[in-house]
Amino acid sequence: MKTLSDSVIKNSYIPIMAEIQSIERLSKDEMLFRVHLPQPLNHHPGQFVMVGLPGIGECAISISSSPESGKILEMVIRKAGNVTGVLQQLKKSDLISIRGPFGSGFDLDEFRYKKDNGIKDIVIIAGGLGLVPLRSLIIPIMEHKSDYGRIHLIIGSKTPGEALFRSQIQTWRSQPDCSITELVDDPDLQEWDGDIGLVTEPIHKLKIDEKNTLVVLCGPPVMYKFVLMEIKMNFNIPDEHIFVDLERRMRCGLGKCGHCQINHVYCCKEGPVFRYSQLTDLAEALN
Amino acid sequence: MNAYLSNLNQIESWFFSLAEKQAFFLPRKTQGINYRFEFIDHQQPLDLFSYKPTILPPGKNIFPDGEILFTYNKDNNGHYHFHQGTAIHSQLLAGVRACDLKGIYLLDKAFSDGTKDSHYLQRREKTDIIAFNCTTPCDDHCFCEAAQSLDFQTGADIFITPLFPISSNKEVHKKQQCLLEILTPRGAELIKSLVSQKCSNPQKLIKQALENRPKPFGRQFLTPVKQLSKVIHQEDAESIYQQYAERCFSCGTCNLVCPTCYCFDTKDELNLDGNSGQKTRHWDACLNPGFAEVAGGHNFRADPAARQRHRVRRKFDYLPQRFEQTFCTGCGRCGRQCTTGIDIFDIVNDVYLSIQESKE
Repeated sequence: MKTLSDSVIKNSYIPIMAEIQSIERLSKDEMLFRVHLPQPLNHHPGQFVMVGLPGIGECAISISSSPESGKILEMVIRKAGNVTGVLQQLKKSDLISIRGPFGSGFDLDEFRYKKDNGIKDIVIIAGGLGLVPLRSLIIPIMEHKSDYGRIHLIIGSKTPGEALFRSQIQTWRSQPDCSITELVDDPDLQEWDGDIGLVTEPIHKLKIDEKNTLVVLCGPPVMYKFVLMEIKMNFNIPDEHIFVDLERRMRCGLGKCGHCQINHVYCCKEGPVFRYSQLTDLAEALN
Repeated sequence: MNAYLSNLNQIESWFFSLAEKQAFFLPRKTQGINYRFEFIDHQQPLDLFSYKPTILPPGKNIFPDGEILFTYNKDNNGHYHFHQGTAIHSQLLAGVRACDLKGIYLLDKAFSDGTKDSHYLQRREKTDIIAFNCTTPCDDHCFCEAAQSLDFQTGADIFITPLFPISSNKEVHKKQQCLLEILTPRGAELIKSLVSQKCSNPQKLIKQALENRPKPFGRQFLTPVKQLSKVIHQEDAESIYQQYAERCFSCGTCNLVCPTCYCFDTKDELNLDGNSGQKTRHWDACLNPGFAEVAGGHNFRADPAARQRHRVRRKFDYLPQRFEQTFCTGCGRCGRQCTTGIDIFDIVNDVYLSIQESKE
């Protein structure tokens, strides 16, 4: 046992510092951070980073920007605890710590339409903050739309006040072969031009080529069970073609600390993006 | 492989001489009845073979609680500077038993899988181990043979087998002989300072010494451990986990004393100057209620039975899927230390029994 660390092993806990370029308030609890990195992370859509401040703490935050964003990284931070509370008080030009990117992501190549055996339909269902990580997938698809088939977006929020990225969603609407349904559970006496209802409701109306469809889901834990049920009831889509992006508590991002473990799988390493076929045997995955 | 013979007197003075050169840990009886890995001094005679497993396994010396992962300071221009954590010094763990050797071996596997854990692996590299063979089960909780860790030698630099009968109520004569097997070049280096003579027939002596081991050695599972893992993987056995969870306080003691538990939490600490601090890591326990809770309050294992199942399956199903080894070493610590006597040995046997009964 003297050969494990022959060379000096990198200390994976030391972060890099990135400068905040802008902070934009998206809703009561959520802010969009745009930071400038010393070097690009070269992330995949769906990956996450550990974001924080030395001496204060760190939390797992999804990357929201396109893989082509270079040294610019965007993420949405919701005020949920002490660390995110402090991060939300930061200002332009302040420094923020970043470690990562971590986890599996989406392979864009699999989503591209190819002549033989190509994916004709991409269904993306986002609930609440679930849109944030999926935005890193949607942006590259929209920017190179001609490489992809039909896109169906179903985006749900609790109330109009919590609906994210509405003006950007508006620009996506002009893309060819792209249908977008925006819903709120409760209009909450606010102005709302989208639909009212749960994200499960528009699913049965989708016009898709079942055999050549990829489905992507991300949202609060309670959403998955019902959305999957609705998909299974209406369509015959193989489990390998359904992707879910899961949330777990994460501390190290390296598959060691144990917090994100779902049965034998480490969410931070093998996930957070899983094919549904990987999860059907994992009792704790979608509860 | 080289082997040497030496008597207890000589081994004791050898230990004292080694302890003068580096941090040297040996299981010692502290006030009361418990053993801990501690430094040795001439004030207290060494008591090498009347051993009960230490409260904490020796692997924790390689994975210490509160270890500094890095320190940082912020200069006048607001730039951050990061520095490696605590300096890692060499240490020698003596009196490590086979079950704990296997525990350390499994930690080696876990921390070198995927992204390597620099802190653990560097400390491991600087840790020498002198292990002791067991000729008798340490107490009623032991089930190392069933867990396939009796006779485990990998990871030790020197492996010592006592060549005399051991009984808990009789003092051992200091002229009694031990056999020392040298397993690594580092072991060969260490043995140089021991007064000993070379042994030409070690296998025969070991065979003789182990002949009188009780058979079976310690508690036995109802079925071989491979089969047990299979059953635990395949069957839900919800009612069994529920039954044990009913008397579980979710205190996490079983996790903290386990030689193969390595889950941790990290903490960022800010010094009073406001411009420097460190990140530390701390042992964590999957039996604690908040272990799998995410921001917003959703808890993926809110039910104590789900946490109990997670612990059992991590040892017998999840980690074995990854590393092809059972992550329970049979040391018996969790059952020994649990306030309400929950013993993983009983749980897995009950899971097996309930499945057998449901088939009938």
